[in-house]
Amino acid sequence: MQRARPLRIVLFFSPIIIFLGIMIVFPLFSLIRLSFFRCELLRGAPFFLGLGNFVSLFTQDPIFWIVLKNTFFFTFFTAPIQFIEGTLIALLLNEEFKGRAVFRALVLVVWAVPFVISAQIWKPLLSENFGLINYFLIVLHIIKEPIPWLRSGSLALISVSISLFWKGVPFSTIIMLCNLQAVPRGLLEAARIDGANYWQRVIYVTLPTIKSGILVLSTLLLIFNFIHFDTIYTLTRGGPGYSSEVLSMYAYDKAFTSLTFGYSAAISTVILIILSIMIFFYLRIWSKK
Amino acid sequence: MTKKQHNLIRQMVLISLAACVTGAMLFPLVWIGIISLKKEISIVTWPPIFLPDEIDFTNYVTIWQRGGFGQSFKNSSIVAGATMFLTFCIAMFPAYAMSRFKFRGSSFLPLGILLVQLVPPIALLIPFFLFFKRAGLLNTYFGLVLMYTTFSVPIFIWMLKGYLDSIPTEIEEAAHIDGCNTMQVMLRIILPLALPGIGGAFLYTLMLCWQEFIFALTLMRSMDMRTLPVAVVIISSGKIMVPWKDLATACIVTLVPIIPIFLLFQKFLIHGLSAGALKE
Repeated sequence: MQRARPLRIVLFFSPIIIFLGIMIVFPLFSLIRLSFFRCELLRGAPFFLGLGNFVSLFTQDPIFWIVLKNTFFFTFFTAPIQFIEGTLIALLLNEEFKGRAVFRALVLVVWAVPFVISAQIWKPLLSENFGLINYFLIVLHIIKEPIPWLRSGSLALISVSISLFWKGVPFSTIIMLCNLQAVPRGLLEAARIDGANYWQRVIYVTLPTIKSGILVLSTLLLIFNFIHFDTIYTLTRGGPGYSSEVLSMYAYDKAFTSLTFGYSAAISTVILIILSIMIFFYLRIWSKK
Repeated sequence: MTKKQHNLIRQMVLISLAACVTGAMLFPLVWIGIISLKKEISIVTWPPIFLPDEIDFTNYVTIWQRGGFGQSFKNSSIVAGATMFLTFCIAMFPAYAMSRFKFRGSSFLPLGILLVQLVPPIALLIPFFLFFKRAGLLNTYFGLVLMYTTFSVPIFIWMLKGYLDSIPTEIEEAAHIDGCNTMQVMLRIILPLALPGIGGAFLYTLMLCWQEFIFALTLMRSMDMRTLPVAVVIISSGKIMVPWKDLATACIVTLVPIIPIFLLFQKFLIHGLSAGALKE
């Protein structure tokens, strides 16, 4: 490591700082500013509204509250399950057995599948009339009648979650695998000698050791599910009705279907605020433990 | 039970579990492949047909014209290539500097860069759509490449720095003594050594370009500029009867390039990510 001259630091970092400043920081400020205007492309010049968009959003838009509820339900339903399945599979792949590398590679392959393709793959699987999911459930006598996964208001979001239980495996698994491999063998050996069985070792030695890794993964999962768009757009398009509409899609629809960009910017600002609060609270809770 | 027997049973249990998990993960991919080969009427039957009697390959020939897939494929490839190149040019310098130089605030930079990654796409989509509209950059390769580069650069820097940290500095020091300046050191010496790290980061960028949907959907307005993810979604939208066979074929066609590349390079990607993570 060299102690660098200030000029050199400027030279090396100014491209990236300028680039990210223009591409991220500036547009975010622009977005927040836009949320204070009525900006509809077909209606002439933008019109300053102050907090008008936000007032309409919170007091005159019942759909917003439905969408908010959907988003929170979706996030806190999908993320924990993705976390658990990733952890379990990572624990399995962390053991040494023949062909482990091959299995790992094949499990991770799903990471290369785009979300929209995952949605298109699950469309036929979840189909009420010819889908394999219903077929297996009926054959195993778990249900008698086919379930209308994608056509029922109460099940639409859960259907999206199901596809994400599949698509989300590689991400959780690989991060947990990296975490697990950082656990010192000596610690586990000592616990084993002390008489701890496998699950006791996992709960009392492994998990506490990788606490910060767990925190990172769960925060990422919450965030990614909270802002998710692709699968929902492709699989259900927010429907039936608004039963699977989430915040990102609502903001998108208000911008590109209704062409009310100011209102959409307000929704997006709300997303940013909620995201920041979630991250803040989450870090607080974990640092207290 | 001897130790050897115990070990054997343990191996068998683990392998069976792993096989089940792997089977569950791969099955949807296999199924969509089967659907793409069935005749259309065999797709919507009940009970479902697992092994069709007749196989129909013709879709794989016609989809290039019919869905505009040939053009979408080309678009995705161009955007991906340009993004990988641009990302590398932008990310290389900060990654090297963060790895080799010590300065005030250098420990905050990795975290700051990662925070950038967490910005919701919709929050950037709206201002950029309006800006590109005014600047005439809608429906251009450049606009989309610019966005994808923005999304790739932070992780690229993070992964590259992690990998560079593992390269000892002796060679660079020797080169400096021999009179090379930093630029030469970086390009001639470090670059070849950093290829595995660069490979992993490139794979991440490629995957991003191949998968990204919302910006591609919004910024590319005309059929002939659409990328693969958008083409795959468009196939089933606005139609009363979903064309299942076309849909399945489209999925397979999109997956066939990326999956082998992923399998070949995933080692580098995983090392890159864990190298970055273990520094924390």
